[in-house]
Formats: sequence, C-alpha cells, structure tokens
Amino acid sequence: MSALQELLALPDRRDNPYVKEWKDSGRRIVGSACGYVPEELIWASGLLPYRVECRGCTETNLADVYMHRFNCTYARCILQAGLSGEYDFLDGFCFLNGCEQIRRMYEIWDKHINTDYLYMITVPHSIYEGGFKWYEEEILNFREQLRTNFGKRISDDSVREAIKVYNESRRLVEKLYDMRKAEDVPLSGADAMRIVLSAFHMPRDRYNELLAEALGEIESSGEHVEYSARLMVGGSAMDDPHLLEIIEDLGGVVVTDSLCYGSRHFLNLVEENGNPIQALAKRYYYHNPCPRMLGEYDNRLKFNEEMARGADVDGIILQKIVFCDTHGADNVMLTEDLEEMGIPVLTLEREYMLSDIGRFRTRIEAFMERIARR
Amino acid sequence: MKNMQASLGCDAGAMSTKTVVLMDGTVIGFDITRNEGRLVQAIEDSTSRALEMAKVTIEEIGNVGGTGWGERYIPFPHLSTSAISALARGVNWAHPGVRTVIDLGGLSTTVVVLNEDGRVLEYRTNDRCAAGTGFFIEQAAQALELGVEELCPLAQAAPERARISAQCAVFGESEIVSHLNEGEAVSSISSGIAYAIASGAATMLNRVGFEPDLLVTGGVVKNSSVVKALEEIVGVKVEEIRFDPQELTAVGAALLAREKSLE
Repeated sequence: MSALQELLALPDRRDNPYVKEWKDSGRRIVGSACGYVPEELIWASGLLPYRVECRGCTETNLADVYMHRFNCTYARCILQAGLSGEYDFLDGFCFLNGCEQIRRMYEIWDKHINTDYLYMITVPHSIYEGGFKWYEEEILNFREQLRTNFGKRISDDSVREAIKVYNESRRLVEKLYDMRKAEDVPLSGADAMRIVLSAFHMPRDRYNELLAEALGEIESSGEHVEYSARLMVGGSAMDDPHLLEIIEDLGGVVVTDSLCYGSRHFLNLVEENGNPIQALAKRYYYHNPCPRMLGEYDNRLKFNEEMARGADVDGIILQKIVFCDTHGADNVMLTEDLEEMGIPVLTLEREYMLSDIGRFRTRIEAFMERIARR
Repeated sequence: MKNMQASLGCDAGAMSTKTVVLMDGTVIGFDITRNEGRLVQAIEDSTSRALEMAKVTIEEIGNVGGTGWGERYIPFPHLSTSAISALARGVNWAHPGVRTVIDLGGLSTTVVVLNEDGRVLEYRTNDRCAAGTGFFIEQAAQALELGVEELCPLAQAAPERARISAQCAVFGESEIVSHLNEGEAVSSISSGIAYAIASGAATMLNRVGFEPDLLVTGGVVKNSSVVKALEEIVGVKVEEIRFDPQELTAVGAALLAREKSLE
C-alpha cells in the first residue's frame, strides 16, 4: 500500500491498526476533545494523543439516557462511543471547556465511563493578557498531572522535540492546502480531509513520513478533479469526509475550509525557540479563534475571507450541527458579511451523524446552480 | 338504584379517547375513538359506544374515573386521576407481575416503575419532543404512503434495516423521503422506523433503570416490530399483553374511582 493509500484509508476508533500496535507495545494513549488541547505535551510524555472522533455513529440511545435531544449530536455521539466501549483503549482523556456541550459531557463521562485519568483544561472565553496567563498555567498543570499519572517527567527538551514534530505536520498540511489552491485541483476535498484527519489517529512522526511521501505521489500523479464550482466549508466540528462527498457528488470541489478539524488546527506554527511551554500557550491561545472566543468575530471574518479568497472559491458552505450555539450565531453574521463582500454563502444545519441527506442535497444543488462557473 | 358494580373509565388521550366499562372485575365494554380535533365529541362518542357494548346505561354506572391529557374536558362528573397512576393501576390489575411499563402513546412516552402492590415507585415522561411517539409513526406511514397497520408486516419481512436517526419527528419524515428517493426498499425503511422508535423507548427505560417483568402499552404496540426491536435492544423479553394495549389506563381510571368510593 502506498503512503497516499494508507492515509486515505483513514483509521477510526473501532479498527485502528496504529492504536493496536501502540497498545500492544505497552504504550498508553490519551484522548483529546478540542483543538485547544496542546497535543505536543501528550506526545512529549511518550503517550499517543488521539483526537476523539465518532465517524459512523448511527444512534445515540445510550448517550440519550444522560443527555437530551437538545444537546448537540456531536457531543452525544462521542458519549455514545464511550458508553459502548469504543474508547476503552484510552488511558486518559483531556477535555476542554471548548463549548458547553462538551464541558457537560465531561461530567457524564467522568461518572459513567472508566477512563483511568480525566483532565479538564479550562480556557478563558476571551483573549486578553490575564487570560493568556491563565491558559499558560493550565498547560503547566496539565504537564504536572501527566507526570503524576504516567510517571514520566516531561523535560523542556522533550517538549521542544514534540513541537518540531507537530510543526512539521503543520507545514506539510499547509502544503496540501496550497496544492489545492491551483486551478487544476489535484484531489477531492473528501480525500484531502481523509489525509488531514489521519494526523489525529496515528503517531505523528509516522504521519509526517507518510504525508511527505503522499504529497509527492499527489504531485507526480498529474491527476485533477473535474468541477463546476470551487467551495470552502466552515462551521461546526466536522470530521466526516462523507459530508464532503455529498457536496462533491453534485459537481463542486472543496478546496479549503475554516474547520477546527482542518485548517484551524494546522495553520499557525509554534515558535521553536525559547520557553516551549510559553510557545505552546501562545500558539494555542492566540491561534485562529473558534467562535467560543468572545470579541474575536472580526478576526474570524477576516480568516474566513482570507481562506476563501486564497483558494479562489466560488462559494462557502457554512454548516452547523443542530443546537451548536457557538457556530449558530457566527454563521448568521458571517453569511451577511461574506455575502456583502461578494462571496456567496450557503448555511446548512445538520446532525452529526449522516441523516436526511435528501434535504441536504436539494439545498446544495440549488446553491451550485447559483455559483457554478461552468 | 345505581348498579354499584359497574364502573366507567375514560382516558382522553392526545390522539384518541379510550373508554372501558368494568363489571365485577371484567371489562364488559371498550371503545377507542380518534379525537380528530373534537375532543368533547370524541369523549361523548366513545363513552356511549362503550356503554352500548356493555349494555349498560350511564345511570347504571356507580363510579366514573377520568384521566389523560384531555381529562378536564370530560363533560360529566368523574374522579380525576393522573395518567401515571391510572396506567400503573390498570397494569397491576391485568399483569400483577409487571414491575416496569412503558407506554408509547400518541404524543408522549411514559415509563412507570411499580411495586407488587401497583404503587408507583418512579416514573418518567419524554422530553417535549415527538420523536418516537405514535405521532411519528403516523407521519412515517404517511411519508411512505402506507396505512399505519401496514408498517409492521413490512418491517418484519425486511431483509435489511435503513438507518433512521429520528432525532426529530418533523425531520424524520424528510429523512424517510430521502431514503425513498435513494431507492431504499419500503420494507427496510419500515424496519428502520420500528428500530428508531424502540431505540428511543430503550433510552427512556435505561434512564429510569427498569426491572422486569416489562410490559409495553399504548397505540404504538400495535406495531409489534417495535416491541421486537425493543426486546433486541434491552435484552429483556416483553410480556405478552392480555388486553388491548390502549385499554389499561382507562381500566386503571375506572378501578381507582371505584376504590376511592369504597374508602
């Protein structure tokens, strides 16, 4: 299997060969539930960070015992996976108060699922000097907790090493995004997403090797995707390439995104010199902000515009999961302002699990008719 | 003089009204009438049909019990009881061994846990959401252009099961239409609907922490594939109901009215 094929196979929690190999060799795994969790620290502890996903979740009957139907299905699907034992391989799980739904789910997880170590990193909901200090202290605490729980002191040098590994991923992923900016788009958005998501579910050094090789394969293949319109996707947490396939089956090609499982996770490097904890705190606290951050709307608008213009898109699809308050409010404002800038926007509401595809498709079809360039 | 042995119970539900006439511990009259938006009329019709079947006049009734969403619209004197107590009483009378009953009604799902005397130990009703109720089944059948009664045989014969997330009764319908347009077989969609409803019911049961014997009541039970799917999910056999599944709340209301009069 070539490197590209390996990344496209996109392992998930239920049948992940890297997880199996890691565990078989006696090493341990710590999950993370948000893009504000500094994975480098977990890696520097000799642990495998695993950003939780719940692709393929079809029902939430176990989770609904503890959460309501007016909680978002992303949080409920993660809880469902936990309750049904699919995350039993986690030795620890780091939550973050990214949004209220996940923060609440943490308490339920703590009560009903036996993960050895649970963490909650809290990040202030706005960006200011004191908030930065708070977050920096939270990271120091997290480092200390990892040391206590897993018995390995995390030296500054090992954090620096981890930063290098993770920065390497960031550079490679950025290169993948750059390649998709071309007039001839070398691969579908769904495939690009598979490649990007794989980073969260395998050892990062191995991922870097595979991705470097895969980028070469893509470049030399000379293939490109036929399309009638170039699209960007933004909005709520989204880690399911099938959603992009629906869009691309209708003739569009997704060439970029402003997603927390996508560009927002990988853009913004960590400084490699100086105090590594401070460097991590800086990067994660000040990176392209999630709508959880108050007072940062202008930056998010700017980021969305830059990503859209940079990839020469014909339109943006801003999706949100039902009951996602953070993206719900942002999507409405972004739609108004981006439309005013001359960028067509479609807003879509969806459940985390793929359902009701017909309704989805009808709306995307109409949008494609509006923006198609050929 | 009134015949003190005869009691009447009326359960004015969200979608239909159920009336029973009890005599010496036997149901001698029973009727279900769809409300069709005219609740008082439905109550009157249902009552007179049940009396007619029992061959008893209203004057011969000793005690009247009323319950259900529309209880306050019952236009004759009656003892009012909550639907929860009425259900528990009716179930305990019909199936004394049952400790948990889940009622899948027109617009609500109710779980009641009772002790051996029929006393309510714990109960839950659904969120303000119609996903998984009788209303949803009717919507679903309509979307498939089928009668509600046709869903069950189709579901039972289905070789496959379509995925219906049914997070919402309204969008559940468009989910079904999506499946149809994708060319999914009507039978597998029917099976998916039964599973989705059972899955919601299982969640309610797990929320309460139920114990067997388990009984399922309410109009939705008439689709036995829902009961089958529920057994599959919770891993517990559901008791075979000995009465019409929509009857027992009205029976309970009649019994409670009679017992009150004897105090």
